[in-house]
Amino acid sequence: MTENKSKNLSSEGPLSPFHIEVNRIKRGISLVASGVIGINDFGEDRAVLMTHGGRIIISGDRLTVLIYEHNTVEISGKISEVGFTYGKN
Amino acid sequence: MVRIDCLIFGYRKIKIPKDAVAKVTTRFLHMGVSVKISSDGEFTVRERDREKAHTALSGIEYTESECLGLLGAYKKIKNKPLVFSAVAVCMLFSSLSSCVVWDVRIDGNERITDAQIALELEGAGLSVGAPWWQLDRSKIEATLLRNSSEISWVNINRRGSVAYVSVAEKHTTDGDKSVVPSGYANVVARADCVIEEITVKRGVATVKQGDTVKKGDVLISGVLPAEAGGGFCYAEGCVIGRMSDTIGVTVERSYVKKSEKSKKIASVDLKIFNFSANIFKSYGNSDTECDIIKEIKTFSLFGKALLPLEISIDYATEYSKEACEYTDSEMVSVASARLTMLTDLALTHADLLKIRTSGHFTDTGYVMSNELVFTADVSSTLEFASE
Repeated sequence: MTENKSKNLSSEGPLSPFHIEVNRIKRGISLVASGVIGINDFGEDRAVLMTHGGRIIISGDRLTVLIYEHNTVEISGKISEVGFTYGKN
Repeated sequence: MVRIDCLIFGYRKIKIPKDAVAKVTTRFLHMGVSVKISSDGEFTVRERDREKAHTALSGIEYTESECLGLLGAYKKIKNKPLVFSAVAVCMLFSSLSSCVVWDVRIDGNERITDAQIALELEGAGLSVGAPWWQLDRSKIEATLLRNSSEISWVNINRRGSVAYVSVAEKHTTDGDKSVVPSGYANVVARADCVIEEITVKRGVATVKQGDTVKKGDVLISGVLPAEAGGGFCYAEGCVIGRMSDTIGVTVERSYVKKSEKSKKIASVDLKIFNFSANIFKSYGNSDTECDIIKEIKTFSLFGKALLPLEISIDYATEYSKEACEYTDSEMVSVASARLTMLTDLALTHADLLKIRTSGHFTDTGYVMSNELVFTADVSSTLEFASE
């Protein structure tokens, strides 16, 4: 007999500073990423966010960038594709 | 969309070249400045973050708007004393005007009229124009309860500049011993009728359903029979009787018609709060007959709150009289209108069972009548002495 236990995040130790959250919004999709150290490229249809672990490549249309404190960045618009690369290059 | 804190504390719109967006966002990210940048390079910066934004934009060509939002508006009008003072006066006036009672609204009353309660409230200190800071609502409530014998509960609420007064009236229920009248009485018929229904609260019924009674007949007796212990009581009850009545009107063919000759303003009075001032008055007597028509204009704020401002205009309207005659159809319509009004009045406290309308022309006019059959309360209390 196996016991199903829900995961308790607090028992897993501190969360990674790298964190992504995607939500559906009125004008498309909102992607919030924390742990961002730089924005390599930003245009109407493409955004490249640099983190310590690698890059987040966002493709879409009518993209807008919103910068918060503590290295948190929100990209909103008609996001069509999100890609990740390992390493800073 | 501009954030509400930006609108209040001021913001600036900055436009940078599209190719510099990535570089600028990275700088803002490192500096911890919160901004929203669109892909065409336009963004808004809070006024307090302006210095940081300048640092972040060093080496980049950009255009910056002047301060916008409430702070920007303040900075603009600060150097224009006339506009500034006008705005200040408006704000002062609006703040002062909210310090007084603009309207008193009363609800919850059925038997006591609004005017009676308003009079009691005025006596207690709450009236239109009274300053709020001088009003102790709990004290007014206590005064109202003490002075009025018909109010059992009162609550005064303030919403904006309007006082909402809720009252509860004292109930005179059947079981209340204090409302039993003293003395002795019979219940008698106040009209000739056929008894339809009889409900006895106190006393002995002397008639039954279907009996025909005449005006003044005893319906419920206050004299108790020997089986019930004898003696007298104050008879009470409700007796519904069926009765008939005829209402008629006569319209004469010839009548005097008044036609308006002129309408002049006789006087104009301005009333602010409880202060009234006459601002115009005409003198002199007219040789023809005239009616004085009073017109009172009130003003409200957006159709809701009544302003404590009234303009009362008296018009002197001169008339000339001339003899006229109705046509046959006009006579019938006038008679019909008058008869409808009289019938409605007669049936105010009655239920109509049957109506028959008839009319005929006479030598001088038109006669119209309604024969009504209706039920109504026919009981009337007649007190008597025990000797």
